[in-house]
Amino acid sequence: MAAEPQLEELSAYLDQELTGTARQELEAHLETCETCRRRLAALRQTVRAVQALPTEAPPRVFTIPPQRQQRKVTAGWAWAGGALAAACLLVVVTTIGLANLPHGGGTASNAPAARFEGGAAQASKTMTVTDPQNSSRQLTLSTGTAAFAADRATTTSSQAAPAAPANGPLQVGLVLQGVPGSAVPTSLSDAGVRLTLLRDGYEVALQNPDTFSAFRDGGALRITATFRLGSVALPSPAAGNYVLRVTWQVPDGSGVSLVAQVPVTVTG
Amino acid sequence: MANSPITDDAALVARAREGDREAFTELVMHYQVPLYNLALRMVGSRDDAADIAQEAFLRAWEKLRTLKGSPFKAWLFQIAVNLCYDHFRRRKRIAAMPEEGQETHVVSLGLPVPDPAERAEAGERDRIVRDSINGLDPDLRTALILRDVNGLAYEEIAAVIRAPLGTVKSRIARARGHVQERLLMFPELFARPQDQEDQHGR
Repeated sequence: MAAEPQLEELSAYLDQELTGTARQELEAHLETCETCRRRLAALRQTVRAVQALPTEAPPRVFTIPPQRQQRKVTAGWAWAGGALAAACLLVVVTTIGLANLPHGGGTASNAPAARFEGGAAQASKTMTVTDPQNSSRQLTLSTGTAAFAADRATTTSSQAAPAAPANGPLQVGLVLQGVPGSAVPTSLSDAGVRLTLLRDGYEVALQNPDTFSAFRDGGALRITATFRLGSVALPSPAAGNYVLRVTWQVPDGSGVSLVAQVPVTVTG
Repeated sequence: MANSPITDDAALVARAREGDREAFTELVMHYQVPLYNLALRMVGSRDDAADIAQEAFLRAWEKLRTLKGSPFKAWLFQIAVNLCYDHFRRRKRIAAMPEEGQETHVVSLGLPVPDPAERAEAGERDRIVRDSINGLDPDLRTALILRDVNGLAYEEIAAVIRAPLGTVKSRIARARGHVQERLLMFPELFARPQDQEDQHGR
């Protein structure tokens, strides 16, 4: 039949977006033209290759913090350059998510919908990851909002007295479930735990906490640590959205690591 | 065309516009996976994609009352696509930041894996496909992803990118053409189709 179909027509045909006459003409042409059948097959294979990319589960739950109101559209999101004098940093938890991160695999095998039933509406402040091989082993990460609210007050008062340090400490709570033995760690590394803040490919380790406490609570190890972000080498400008990530190398030689993460926003 | 999701959206949007956060949370839960994957394939980094998806939902919530009658889905995707373009512009300025690419600190959870050779090959194929998509100019990339990753109909894509249907059709075709050229450079992974079925595919 008529002229050779264009790539555009073949492509639309694959999507069933070619209508009426155009479609009939193309099909008639394909009946008689070996070359175009090959072109179509090759294009179909390309489309399938793209469609075969795995759908990934989001690494966290997306929520709307209570302080975000409709219509109050502020001029700039935390990323915006401008008023980000990093002089005083205040950490605000915006949203907290759950994740179970076998990053290497990358497929959405943990259907996220199953994981936040009943939890998504209120911005959950906690994330728990369970070892799929051993469900008694769990890692929970939380950031204390109460502490941040108190820091807010500190910041306000420090504006009157700028000499006072105004960095809001980041409070991190960890619960390690299923730790063998009865030892109580004296530091994060002692517990096999690594804390980092991530943004845009930067990963900054949080070390030397301001305060550190750990105790045994039945089968769980509870750890609380606070960090002053003013002394952490954050990328410049320091304000912005970060991910707080904890990696726990389970100390039983199994090579298993559990990772939990929650987003935090650092504001200037 | 499945109409019920759109109708559901409309009901949820109406409630959310009255300030009902639970209704909006339902919308978030419904769209978070497609929106995250749209951003992921657009920008290539999981952290950035999650930031973009989060920001898109925040903006949608805040601006919901400005949405006048048009479908929520296309509007939400439009916000996310715009944020991806913002991201590209920003990336030009902070090009010194290291490329995240595939996570290097891969976490082993001891999940069962298929045959390593097979897995490596599938991983390699995915990598090449991702690279081919990343090599596209943003307009073509957007059209391809909305179609082949998100499965949007041409009309929906037209609404998202605010372009005529003809533009949508042409961008998708050109994007596929470019990707195909790249894939054919790896014949061992992407064999040329033999005389297969010429049945109309999905």
